[in-house]
Parts: sequence; C-alpha cells; structure tokens
Amino acid sequence: MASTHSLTTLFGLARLHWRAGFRKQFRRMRTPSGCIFGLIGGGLIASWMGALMFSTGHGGAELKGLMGPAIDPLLQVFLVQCFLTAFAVLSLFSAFNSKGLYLPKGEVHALLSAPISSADLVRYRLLVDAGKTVVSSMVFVALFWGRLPKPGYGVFGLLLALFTITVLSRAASLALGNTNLWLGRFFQGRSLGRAGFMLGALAWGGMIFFMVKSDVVMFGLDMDIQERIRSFAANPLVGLLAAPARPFAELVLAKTASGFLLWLAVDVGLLALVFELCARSAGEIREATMATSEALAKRLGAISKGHSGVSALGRLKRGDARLRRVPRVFGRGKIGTIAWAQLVGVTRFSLGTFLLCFAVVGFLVMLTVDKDLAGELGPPDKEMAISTAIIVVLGTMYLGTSMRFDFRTSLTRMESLKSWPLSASRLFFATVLPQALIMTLLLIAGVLSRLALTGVYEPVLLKYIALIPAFVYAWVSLDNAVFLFFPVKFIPGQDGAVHHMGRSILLLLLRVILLTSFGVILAGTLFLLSLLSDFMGMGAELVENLGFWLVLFGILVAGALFSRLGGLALSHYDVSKSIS
Amino acid sequence: METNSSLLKVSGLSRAYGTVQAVDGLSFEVQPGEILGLVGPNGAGKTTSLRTIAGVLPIQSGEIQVVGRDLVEDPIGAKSLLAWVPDEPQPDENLTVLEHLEFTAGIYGIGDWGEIAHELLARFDLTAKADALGGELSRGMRQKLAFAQAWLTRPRVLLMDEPLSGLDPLGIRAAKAEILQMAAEGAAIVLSSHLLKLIEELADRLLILDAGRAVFTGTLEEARASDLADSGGSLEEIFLAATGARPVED
Repeated sequence: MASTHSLTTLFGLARLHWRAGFRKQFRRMRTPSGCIFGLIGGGLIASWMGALMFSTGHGGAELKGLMGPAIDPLLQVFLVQCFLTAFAVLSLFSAFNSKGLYLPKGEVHALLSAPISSADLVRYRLLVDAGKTVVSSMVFVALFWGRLPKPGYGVFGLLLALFTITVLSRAASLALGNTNLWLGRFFQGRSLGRAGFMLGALAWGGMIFFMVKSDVVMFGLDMDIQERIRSFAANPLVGLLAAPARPFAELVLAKTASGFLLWLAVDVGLLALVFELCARSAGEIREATMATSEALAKRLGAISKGHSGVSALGRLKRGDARLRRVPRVFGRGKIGTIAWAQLVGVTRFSLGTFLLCFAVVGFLVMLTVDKDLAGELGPPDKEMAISTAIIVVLGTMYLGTSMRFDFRTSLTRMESLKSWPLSASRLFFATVLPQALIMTLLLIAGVLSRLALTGVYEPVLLKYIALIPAFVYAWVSLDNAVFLFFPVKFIPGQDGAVHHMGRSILLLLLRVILLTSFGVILAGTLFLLSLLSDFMGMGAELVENLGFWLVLFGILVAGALFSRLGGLALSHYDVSKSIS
Repeated sequence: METNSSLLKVSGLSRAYGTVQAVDGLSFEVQPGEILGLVGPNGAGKTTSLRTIAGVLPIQSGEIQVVGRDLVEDPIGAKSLLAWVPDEPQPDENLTVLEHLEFTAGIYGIGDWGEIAHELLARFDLTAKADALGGELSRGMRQKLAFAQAWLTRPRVLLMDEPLSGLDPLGIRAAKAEILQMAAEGAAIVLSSHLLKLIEELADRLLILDAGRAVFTGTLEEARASDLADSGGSLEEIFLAATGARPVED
C-alpha cells in the first residue's frame, strides 16, 4: 500500500530537482557567454526539431515520408508496433546492464536510509523517469508529428507508449536484481554473468536464424516493399512479438475522438497495471540499488573524463596484466615526465577507444582504395594526394574528437597541474604531445596500409607523410587551447546540455575560422610562389620543393602559435570557477 | 616577527570574485622553521590565499616572494622551492603510488628519488599501496600520497590546506610528527585548518582571517594577552572573539 506521506515528500523532492534544473539554466543565462551559448544551442535544437516536424508537411493523412508511397492502415499499425517493439527491446537490453534502481549520488544514501518503503521508492523513481522520458522523447514527437493522422492524439499516444516502455525496463532491472539475489543465494555466490550472457546470445542468435530461415527479413530493395512488410507481419512469431504494442499503436494512429478515448482507456489501464506490479513486486532493492547507482555514477564520471564506450565500462585494478611499466620514451626532463604520465594513461585505460580508432582509420583506408573512387580521382599522383588528404584530414578530425588523452581528461587535477614548477607553454606542449604522437602514428599506418593495398607509389608521398605530425600537432593544440579558454565537464544527460551544444558550435566555428585563416595565408603564399616561379623561370621540381617547405613551415608556425595560445589559456585558467 | 630572512613574504595580497572580495590586503611573513597557523570561518579566504601563494591562482594585486623569488617575475623558480598540499588531493588515477613519486621527482628535477621514495612510502604507511592506482586510493591514502609527494621535493616553503582530513588516528599522529620535523629542518610552513586543537598544538604563530582580512597575527600567548580573550583563554575563544562570533567581554 502506498504511503501518501512519503510519496508526497518524494514528489516534493522531484519538484525541487526540476526547479533547481531550471534555476541553473537561468543562472547560466546571466553571463554574456552563457547567454550566447544558450541562445545558439537552443536555436540549433529548435531548428532541428522544426526541420523534423515540418519536413513532410504538417497534417499529412498517411504515414508517409518514412516509406515513400502511401501505405494501407493495417500496415501503418504494424509499422508503429514494430517501432515500439524495437524501442522496447533496446530498452530491455540496456535494463539488463543494471540490477536495480538508479538513484543519483546525492539521493542514494539519503533515500535508502529514510523511512520509505521500497514500493514508494520505486514509484518515485518511475515517475521521475517518466518526466525524463517525456523530455528525451521530443525528438520522436518531432519526427512523427507531420506523419500521423491526428498529431495531437498520436503524440499523446507515443509519449504514453514510451513511458510504459520505461516502466517495463525498470521492472526488468528490478526483476533481474531479485532473481540475481535469489540465484546468488541458491548457487552460493557463484558468478552467473557468463552463463546469462551465453543464454542471451543463444536466444538472440536463434531469433536471427529463425528470421533468416523463414525468409521474413526485408532484403532486396528492388522488391515491392509493402509486400515484404506484409509477409513479415504475417509471420506468427513476429505477430506474437509485436502484439503487446498493438494497443499503443492503435492509440498513436487514432483518427477519431471515440477511437482515441477507447484506446487511451486500455493503454492507461495497462500502464497502471505494469506500474503497480513493478512497484509492489520490488523486494529487497537496497543492495542492488547501491551497486547500480555506484556503477552508473562511475561510468558517467569516466565519460566526463573523456573515456567512452568500452573504456568507460571497466577500470584496471592492481595486478592487472595491462598494469605494466611504461618506458620513459620522452626523456626524463620535466616535459618528458609529463608526457610519460599522459602516455601511461593512454596505454592502460583506452583499449576500447583504440580499437574503435583503428576501425575508423581502416574504414577511411578502404574508402580510398575503392576502385570506383580511384578511377574518378584521375592520375595516380593526384589520386594519391586526394586519398592521403582524406585519410589524414578526416582521420585527424575523428581521432581528435574521440581520443581525449589531453587537458579534457585533466580538469579535476588542474589544481596540482598549476602548482608545478613549469611554464604554462611547456606544460601545454607536454600534455598534448602524446596524443598528437599517437594520432600521427595511426594516420601514418593508415597511409602506408593504403600504399600496401594499392601499390601506387609516388616519391611525393614521403613529403605528405612528413607533413602529418605537424598538421596533427597543430590540430590537437588548437583543440586544447580553445577548450581551455572555455572548459566544461560534460556528462551525457546532465543539465546544461543546451549550453554545451551552443558552446560546441561556437568552438567549432572558432576552430574553423582559425584554420581557414591559416589555410588562406598558406594558399596566398603558394600562389605568390607560383607567380614568382613563372616570372623567374624556376623549374617544376624546385617550385614543388619550395612549396613543400613553405607549407611545412606554415603548419609549424600555426602549431607554435596554437601552443602559445594554449599556454595563455592555461595560465588564465581559474581553478576556483565551476566547470560543470 | 618580520625580518629579511623570511622564506615566505606576502604583501598586500588581494583577490576578488566579481563583487566579492575574497582576500583583502593580506600581508604576512613566515620565517625558517616556523609554522604559521591560518584559521578563519568558512569563506574567510584561507584556501584562496593559499592557492594564490602556491601559484595556482593568478595574483590580482599584491606581491609574493618565496625565498626571495618573486612569484610573478620568477614563477618557476619560486614554485620549485614550494610544495602545496591541497584540501582535496586529486591523484592521477592512471599512475600507481610509486609512479606518482617518480612523476614528482621528474617535475622537480630530483635525480636520486628511488631510495627516498621508498623511505617516504614507509614513513607515510604507503608501502603496501605502492602499486595501487591513484583512482583506487581512499581519501586518507590520497592525503598520505600528497604528503609523500610534497616531502619528496624537500620544500623550503610548505603550504597545507586541511592536511589531516581523512587520516586515521595513527596517520594523524605520524603526520603531525612529520610536519614538526619538516619545520625543525628549517622549512617555513603555512597550515590552514578548522581543527583549532591542531593549530594550538603545532603552530608557532596564528593568522586569523575574517572576510578576507587578517584580524589577528601573532603568537597564541600574544593573543591571550590581548583583549581577544581572558587571560589563559583557549584558541577557540580567541577565534570566536576575533571573527565576531562572540563579542569581546569588557
């Protein structure tokens, strides 16, 4: 039985959190930079949502745009069912990563020690999640808006469906926690994670096998797509899997008020049933909730320090095989020491990031060895120049964003950093050097792999390779300098996302302006060189060599200037100001 | 006590955050072998002052000299003679405890660090944690590591902000002994803490800050003799009177 008093108090807490969130946003808007970042971020989100909402015209009577030609109403219902089922499956999969409720750091001890029943705690958390679901579902609302028979009904139905899915996934987490606890006792603490993973993989593989075997997967774009969907829908297993979503799909696609009210009653009943079942079936949740909250807090912390994906999941512990001595490859001076410490972090904690970066560089290499592309790029020397540029420029852009072994991971230690007896410029150089070096090695490996795959070699390739370290260092130092002028510790899903987006756009613009300025100066200088060479009758080889040295010199000057800028930003960095 | 032999000399230090004056014209000196206890209510400007002296925050106005080296004109020279133990040490979570000492040795240019490092690990009860990562350490262990790093640099000036936070009773006793030993070897120490008993026990002189200003500078005996407390009054009484929390009785 729900305790009215504790629930009222908990809802009061949720209301205070919401108010605090809005207050924080308004406070950010008080400073000029906060105002600019907020307006740009808000404008960007609004224009994106607007583009999604009105791209196919508001008030369309059919589910069009997604599938092309108009499709019959039964298939429309089935497609919405599929969308909701897919969303539910994804949510359930993510739910299986945790075995309890997630409570934020500031709440976990206070609420678990408070005189509140588990059921009330679950109800509170479900309703908080519902609020978050409404906000995060806005993108789906915008996407479906112009594609639904009655947008008002449809959007309401969609939000209700997504909320029900959220409740379901929380119920799954809690059930898993309870089962784990029970099984743990039954098997006396033996780890069941691996067996669970194997079972899940078997079930997933079996489903894929069945779908391929029964020829219901939609391969072949040349075939009649509606026919394919119809045969897919007719499959009994697919029908069974999608059936629970049917009442919600009907609500989303309701065309009349009576139909809407009928399905609304059914769906609200279903939601209430799932909600109360979830709350009342919550048994002993404290241990699982502590573990889940701690694990998620750690993961968010790791992400905020620049680790992502696989890297954010696991940390090394004492005795781990990867916890080995890293050689002092940069020497034993002050710069060498700082660069070494950075390198230790790279080698110990970033396997996932590395694998992903390898894959992306590999993809770029494969893109440039594609025969069709090669044919379009002209003679071998031109093809090699363009291909190398694609690998290096796109690779640098990607690696610079995903590899964060620089100041972006050092924000929590700035107080120590700034007390070291070292000039700000040297400290800046030492910190970004390892990242630039690793990116350079990866890109050179990519260029050489392409050479091995195509066999196309021109001597000028050596010059291109010689430019890579300077280019990469200039890029990384610019990235870090700009970051240090406007530092922010961003955690996905935290408040301030709008400001962060605005800030990112502005920083991107700033980087583009700085890089373009250097590009224009270099291009102008090269143009003058070509004019001069015509005038003086210089040989082509001499002009090419002069051009190469000019470009190299220009990039090195840019790198030095960006380093100086970074040093300046570092010395102005105020550790007492909040960066969250 | 102001002489030319001061290892740390702070003159007219001021710092504001927007309209809030965090530190307002602070001046003091610390002699070799002296421990200066910095006390004050929350928000009095203790941490801001220490961070500025450590070179972590830029100087807005005023002058700081570390062993005669000006922190603005020769920041690297000044910093290399100074060690800073912040109130919440944040070790590098990727480095082991021993690697932290190797790192500190590299930054401060200490060649023969190995033997001293192991000795410091033993003195601060960190030997068993030598291979533990910074991210694995408890609050107390992080504090001990910060001590060991500071001690490794053999500083002439040592700044400590709430140095005993998170330490167990044994750790507190060891830390107090180490601080006294460091002073006995001639270092000038500034120790900020809310633990008035600790200040009473260790400090040779007091500096009481309130709203960014020094409201009392002198020895505990001088404070007791002043109108801040009745004769023989405790530091707590002196502190409360100096910061306006308790009116001075006539």
